[in-house]
Amino acid sequence: MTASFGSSATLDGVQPTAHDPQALLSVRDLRVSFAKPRGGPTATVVEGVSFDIEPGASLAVVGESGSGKTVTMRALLRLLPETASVTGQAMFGGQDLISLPDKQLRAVRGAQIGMVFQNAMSALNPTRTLKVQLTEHLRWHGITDRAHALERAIEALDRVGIPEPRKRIRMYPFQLSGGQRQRAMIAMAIVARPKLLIADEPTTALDVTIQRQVLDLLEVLRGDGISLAMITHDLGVARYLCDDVVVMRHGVVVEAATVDAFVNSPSHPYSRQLLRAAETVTALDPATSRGRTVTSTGEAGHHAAAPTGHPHQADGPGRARQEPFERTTDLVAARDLVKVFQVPGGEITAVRDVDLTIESGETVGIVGESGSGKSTLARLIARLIEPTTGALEFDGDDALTLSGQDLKAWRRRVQLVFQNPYASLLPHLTVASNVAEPLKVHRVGTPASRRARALELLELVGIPETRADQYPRQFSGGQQQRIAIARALALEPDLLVCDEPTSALDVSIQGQILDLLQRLKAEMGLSMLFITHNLAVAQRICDRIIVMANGTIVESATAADLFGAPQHPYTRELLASVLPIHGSRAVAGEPIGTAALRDEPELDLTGELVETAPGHWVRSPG
Amino acid sequence: MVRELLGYLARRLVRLVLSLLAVSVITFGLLQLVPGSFAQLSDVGTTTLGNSSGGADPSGQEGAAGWLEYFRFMGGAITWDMGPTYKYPQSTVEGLIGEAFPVSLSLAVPATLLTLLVAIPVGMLAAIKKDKPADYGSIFVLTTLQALPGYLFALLLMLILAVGLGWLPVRGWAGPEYMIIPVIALAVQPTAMLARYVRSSMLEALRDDYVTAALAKGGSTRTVLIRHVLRNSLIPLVTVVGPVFASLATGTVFIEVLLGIPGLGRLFTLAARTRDMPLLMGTTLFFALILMLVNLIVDVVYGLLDPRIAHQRRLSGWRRPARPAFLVGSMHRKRSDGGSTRAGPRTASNRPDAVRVDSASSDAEVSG
Amino acid sequence: MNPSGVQDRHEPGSRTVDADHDGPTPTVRRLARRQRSDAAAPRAQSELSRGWTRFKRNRLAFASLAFVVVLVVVAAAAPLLAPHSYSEQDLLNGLLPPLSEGHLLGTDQLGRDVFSRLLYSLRTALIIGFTAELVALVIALVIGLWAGWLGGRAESALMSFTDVMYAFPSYLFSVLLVVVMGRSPLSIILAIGIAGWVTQARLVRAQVLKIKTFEYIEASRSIGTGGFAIAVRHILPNAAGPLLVTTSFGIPGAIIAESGLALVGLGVAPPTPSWGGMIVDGYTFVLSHPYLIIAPLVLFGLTMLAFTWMGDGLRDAFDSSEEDHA
Repeated sequence: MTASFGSSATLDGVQPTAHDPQALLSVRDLRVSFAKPRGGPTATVVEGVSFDIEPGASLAVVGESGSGKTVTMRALLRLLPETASVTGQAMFGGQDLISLPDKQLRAVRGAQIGMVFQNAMSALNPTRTLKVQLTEHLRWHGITDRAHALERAIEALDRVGIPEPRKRIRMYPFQLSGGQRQRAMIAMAIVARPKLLIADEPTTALDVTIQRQVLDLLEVLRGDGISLAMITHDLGVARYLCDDVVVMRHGVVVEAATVDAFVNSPSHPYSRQLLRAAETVTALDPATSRGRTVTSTGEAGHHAAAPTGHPHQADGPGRARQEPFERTTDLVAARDLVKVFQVPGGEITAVRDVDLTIESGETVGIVGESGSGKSTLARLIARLIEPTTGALEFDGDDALTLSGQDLKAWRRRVQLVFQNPYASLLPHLTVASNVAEPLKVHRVGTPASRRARALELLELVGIPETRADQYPRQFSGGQQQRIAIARALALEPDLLVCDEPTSALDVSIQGQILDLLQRLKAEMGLSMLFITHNLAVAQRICDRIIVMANGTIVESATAADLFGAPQHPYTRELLASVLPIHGSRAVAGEPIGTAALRDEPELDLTGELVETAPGHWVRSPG
Repeated sequence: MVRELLGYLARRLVRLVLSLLAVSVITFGLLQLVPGSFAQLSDVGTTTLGNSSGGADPSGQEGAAGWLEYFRFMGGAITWDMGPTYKYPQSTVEGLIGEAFPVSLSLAVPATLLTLLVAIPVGMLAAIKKDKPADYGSIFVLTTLQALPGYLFALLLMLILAVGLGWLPVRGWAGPEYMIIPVIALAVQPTAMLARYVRSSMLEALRDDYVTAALAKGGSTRTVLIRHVLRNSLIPLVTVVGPVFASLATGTVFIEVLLGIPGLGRLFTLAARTRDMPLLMGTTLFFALILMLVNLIVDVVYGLLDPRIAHQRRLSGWRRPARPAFLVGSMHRKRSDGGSTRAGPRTASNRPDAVRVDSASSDAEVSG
Repeated sequence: MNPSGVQDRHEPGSRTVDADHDGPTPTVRRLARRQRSDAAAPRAQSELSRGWTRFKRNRLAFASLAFVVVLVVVAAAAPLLAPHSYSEQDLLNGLLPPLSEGHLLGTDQLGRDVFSRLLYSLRTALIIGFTAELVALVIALVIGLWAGWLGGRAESALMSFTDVMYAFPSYLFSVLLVVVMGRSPLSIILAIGIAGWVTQARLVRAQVLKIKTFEYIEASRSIGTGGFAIAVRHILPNAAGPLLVTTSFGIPGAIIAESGLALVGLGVAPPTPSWGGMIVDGYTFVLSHPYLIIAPLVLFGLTMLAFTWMGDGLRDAFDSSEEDHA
């Protein structure tokens, strides 16, 4: 095995083992604490972390937000603010990075250890060209002179698969596409040919298809002999790219193992919990059906309410639908929806010719990458924005002509849950008032009865009465989302529109929120429109799934059909980009070579939607 | 690029002319309300303000005559010929402005330079020493200096340097030694404001990931500060320095009046006190012209310095960038904005990385 | 400057940030913050009381607030505290030095008691400061909310108008207004208020535009809350922090404006005492009797400092939105 580990917290009282002389980087008992400005108490964020990285190996540091994984890795290069105090040892090439004098440390930074950040848009200086940013440190380290530095930089851009590097090196970061920007940043980190690359969530801000490209690029670089330490919250990414894994929680390493060992037999309870959560919300179910019951992730007692009581469960997941756009029992029927936004310098068609129906009691998922128009569509259905053209019927009635009091009355029937729970709650009201707010707006009951109802709803989503008079910011993200759900249910709507309700949350919380939604849906007989970029979540919660790209529908089918027999190349690409946690790496396909990165093919969506099987609609090639 | 720039300039100049017209109409309309209309006043000469509590009573006829006067005046103003003043029939409006403007300018240039020379290093130092005594100390001093109006410093300096120590002349305008007190007094407040701006602008830049990235590449703190932080935080400074200069160049009424400096501010005050309508109109329009021209120059220069703005303007047809609210040099400068340090040009509409289509559609995003 | 509805992308989650926004990177800061918030005992606390707690911790700001309160009380009680009338002349006892019998700060050239005049001028300054700011704030609120919330044509009209108003330095505009309206206290208040609203209206509008992009406004619309109710019940309370700060800087701004007008001979008509007027009077005798100018200068300076330090404290405590003055 390539790594050996110790952690002062799990191996209570055991001294960290001696440094591994073979290791490229050997960290022992690393501790980081932050002093509050103005002499407040210090907060310890990392408490005794130890790990090794062997030459040529790749290590994933895995954990949820707040686990201290980023602070740990930044501490290695001493890139923390001055309020941080770092102790411990990090042996790299015979030197201890923690105690190294500044000047010698600078010689390591950039030249021997490169760093890749989550967001290239902010990690690249917006006012300097790529040329400046890719070459300056070559000269700082005295690696090459100015003329050769330019050649090296162009070479590095070429290596990361940026087309026409000679031209693009003179560009500013904002002139590149998102994927190119991320790769340009990686080029900046590797141009000096470091031995180790520290990558901090390098793919988290990216769409899944681009994520795959960047991961493959990192894999290619490993082939060049660069070791990798990757911070990630995504076990699929860790599994795809890394040999070893270190699991962190609350500043402590709870488990360290090879990826295979970790995935197949995690030893720490937290690891098991993390894996279970990841299996349910980030990995596709290989059985490709959603018939299985929900795996509870910590909410005991909710099993009973899992979708066994689903009104349509009897129809089975493969339930065929003959004429999806002409049924009269549909709760929602949207036809030819188009939304055009005026922007400086032109207009953008965010949603183009979208037909959509939601049957009573059904959960329809809309899946797509950013820019696919899925959130715009959700807001069109909820009439938060008006379509440019198209028709929208709700329960057989025209919903677009409603206005004034009629519109207000109609809003009771459609409620929303948003992506960012904190932002969607009124910050100046207590959570009880937040939940009672819809009742107040619609003049339901008295203040006392409204409060009683709010407490009831909070109880339903698991917020105790004792906390009802606190303010939204005093709750964690998961709790805030529960409160937002309680508010959405206050008016007993027919349709719940959920716009990425879990994507801002940690995986273990995501599972809980999904469980809650499914339970409530079953209990209250709701219909649901569920917007997500996460295929695994869609697979788990939706009866029918619509795949969108560039504002239009690519493919639409029942969950089982879509995952079992995807037809459109784009859908297949999306499915392939979901990284499995189990199974061999080959499942995800061979790494794409850098040559393939160079072209970003345009998606052809000019064809017609064709029904290839009952209820399975696919856009034909144009 | 050049064609786009010219088109932008043309549009901005049209706007500038329209704004000037609006200013002239507002000013003239206001002055029409004054007891005794524009036309009448030519033979009234000086009027004291003490007995002006009576209401305005321009009859329709006088009103019409007044607006005729307006067109005559504006017709002249276009050709830089605004006619004689009421107070000094022997001088013309443009002649008086022509005499006063160089005086104000000769104070504004050194005051602006002094401001820059002091504010940038102090702001940088405070930012680098954030949360250390040097930072707290300089912030305290800067806040204090910014709280007090410039004429108070003029008085203080005068009391100490001229009255107390006798090193400098008390007031008047007869040589370089008369410039020292007004230049320092003029520079105090802009310096405090600018230093705080530099500090927060640098702190903001320091927080950006690209600074960490540059440090992670092995740059020394000093190199990174100069190559990345300073550069990026000084670009937006253009949007602040321009208006500071403009407000100084149009003369600071109170300091000029107190110290007996024959600049534009004093000229304007004189016109207001004597209700010299042509002179009031002329000076007001001249102020407006200077401010608008400086704003135009600032916007163009800013666009040229920051590639993102240039890029975004190309997308949006060089629309005017949002400007921090405190760019109005005035006695109200302090309200909320003077200290509101993080203002700066990185506002909604000129962050190309944040261009977004309609608040409602998180998906329909324009990629840069 | 967003007529086409293009909005900044806000990350509203970051609104939870404490006042200290120091770390080098957002990530590290978030981590450090999480550690702290975990430790904090969950106790119900509104934004307002949280801001107040933070404000109290700032000793300089709190002391300034106390000083301002004292000033207000003294100004209100001026008729009781002043040993003499502000206009009572005693030409035989003109230009008495400070600590003369019966005249704590001496007398001016007309034999009026400087201490009494100082108290009354404080009264004038505070009345004008508070009411002029109130005028400015009301106009700014109405127009800023209107433009920010409705957008469209109302907004572009306002923005064109404020662009034009930007070409008037506000002192210039108030001078013009005083020339038009005369030197009564009311017209001075109006002149300062009307000249001062533009900046504040833009600020209100910027706040509204920012808050508008938050999902809670969308959420309110989705539950059927009407536009007016959203503006008044949800946008206004969330813009209260920045508005409070604006106001606390607007008051000394208006006082400075008043003293400036007096300085150029366009302030409150005599014999009503004002700091500007006293400074001008004292200026005449600066070489022979400097105490005449020092007394009003000191009180004036202290008042300005108190308001400014208080405003700074308020900003640190209540205004977490340091950016965005669109």
